[in-house]
Amino acid sequence: MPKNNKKIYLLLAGGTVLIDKQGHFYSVQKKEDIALWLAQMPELNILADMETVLLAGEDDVLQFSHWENMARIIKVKAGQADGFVIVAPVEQLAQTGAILGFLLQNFSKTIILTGASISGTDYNQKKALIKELRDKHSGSGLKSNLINAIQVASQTLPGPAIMFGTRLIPAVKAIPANSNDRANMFVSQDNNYWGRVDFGISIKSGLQTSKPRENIYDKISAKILTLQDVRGVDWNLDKNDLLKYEAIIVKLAGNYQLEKEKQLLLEKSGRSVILYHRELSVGSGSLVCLADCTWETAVAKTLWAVANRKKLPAFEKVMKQNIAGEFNNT
Amino acid sequence: MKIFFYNTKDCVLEARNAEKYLRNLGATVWNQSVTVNGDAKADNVLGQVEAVIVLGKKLDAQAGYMIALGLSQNKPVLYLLPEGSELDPAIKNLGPDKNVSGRLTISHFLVTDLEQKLADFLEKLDTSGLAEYFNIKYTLRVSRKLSDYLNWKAEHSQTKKADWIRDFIKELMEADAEYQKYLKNKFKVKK
Repeated sequence: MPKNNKKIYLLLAGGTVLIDKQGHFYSVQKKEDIALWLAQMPELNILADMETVLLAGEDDVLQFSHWENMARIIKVKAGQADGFVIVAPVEQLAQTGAILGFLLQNFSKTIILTGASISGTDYNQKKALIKELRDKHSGSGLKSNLINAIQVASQTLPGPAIMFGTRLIPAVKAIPANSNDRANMFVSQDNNYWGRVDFGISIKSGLQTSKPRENIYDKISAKILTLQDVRGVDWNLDKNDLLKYEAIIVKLAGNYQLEKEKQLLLEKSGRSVILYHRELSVGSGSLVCLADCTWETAVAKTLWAVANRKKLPAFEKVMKQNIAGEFNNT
Repeated sequence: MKIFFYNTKDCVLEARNAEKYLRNLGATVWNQSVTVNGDAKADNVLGQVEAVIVLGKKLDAQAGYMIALGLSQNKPVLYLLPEGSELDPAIKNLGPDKNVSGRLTISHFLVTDLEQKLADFLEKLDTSGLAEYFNIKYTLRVSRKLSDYLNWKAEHSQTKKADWIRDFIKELMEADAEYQKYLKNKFKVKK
């Protein structure tokens, strides 16, 4: 039996756009759409018995409650599943994977994230892109991505992973690819891949598969202020606005340190502050500096660490600690 | 013609014969033992093949995966199984599905007619819409004289140069009796 009685849970949260040969579109907005959508991909039934769960419609933007709900469902269904495949919008795939990496640490079942190369049902706005996908890739790429994701979902991996195109990438390391290749829209920040698709899926040898104790968390915090700093452009922090937030995460780019005045503003804010730069160690004083990880992972880690502050060691220590294999070359 | 060939462990001898037959026809056969080196090549390897052939008595996980992946990429897929073998229910249910019909061929074979079954499939491929699809790119160097003629012809006949060349080759091919005779026997099994 090709299925080997595998049971895979398919969690749908956007990223479900399919384009058939005639140019018809199918996506899942509501529960009633699922049967017709699945009927376009009968080949999935060769691989596993699937149960679908709808978490968000195609046009929804994923929010904190979606991610918490996702983790909760995975936790509840783990006993009946051989693996989980999450279909999510391509724009939010890395963020979703990184959040799950912190909420479900050392989780016993494999979690694979994938999706179509486009998301949303505003097809008229994307005519050129849709034409390119049809001409060059014979569709949105979702079918192949799903087949690869289902195939790998019952194998043991160290953590959540993104299966997209021909690459299996640790979710905490995935960043958008800087190319026009619509089939492979993600790369691994430190060139660390867990697998590749050629004639079959080759999983990297030597991956750590015996996991330490599971650490499951239910909450992420929505009370995070994210700022993107641009040198020379001033910004201020309003005292009343600050009351809404528990932490501030500032994204820096380019070869520079944060200006002194801005650093002082952040220090006086009374909030936990994270300075993120992908390559440089920036800032000083009471500010936590994060480098050597993806922006999505830095945000995910902050959301998780702030929400679970009471259960964790000191915030600064946790942020510096390698929790989900998020730092480069780990 | 590039073909991906996969066999399960219970049909090794038959697979060897099938691969030999395909190679004798001039097909490039990639199988599971092929190691693909280099990123550029590894990306979308299946995209480069024209058909997927799976041979096996009992489908294993990899065989099921290859059939599913081939179908998902709109490749013609042939699943060959020895006469008398029971068809996996997952594949059986796929057969009548309108979304895969025409792309999936399921065929039982005897040792004596395995090559014929392959020939039938290849013949079908050769006459399918895929064979008529203009997906092979040529870089054609011509003299200035030929180029001038092509430019004049295109303007004179209100046709694109590429279309005119394609139509011209098609006419030549259809009128070539010797080539038509070759086509009739292209996949014939030599006794």
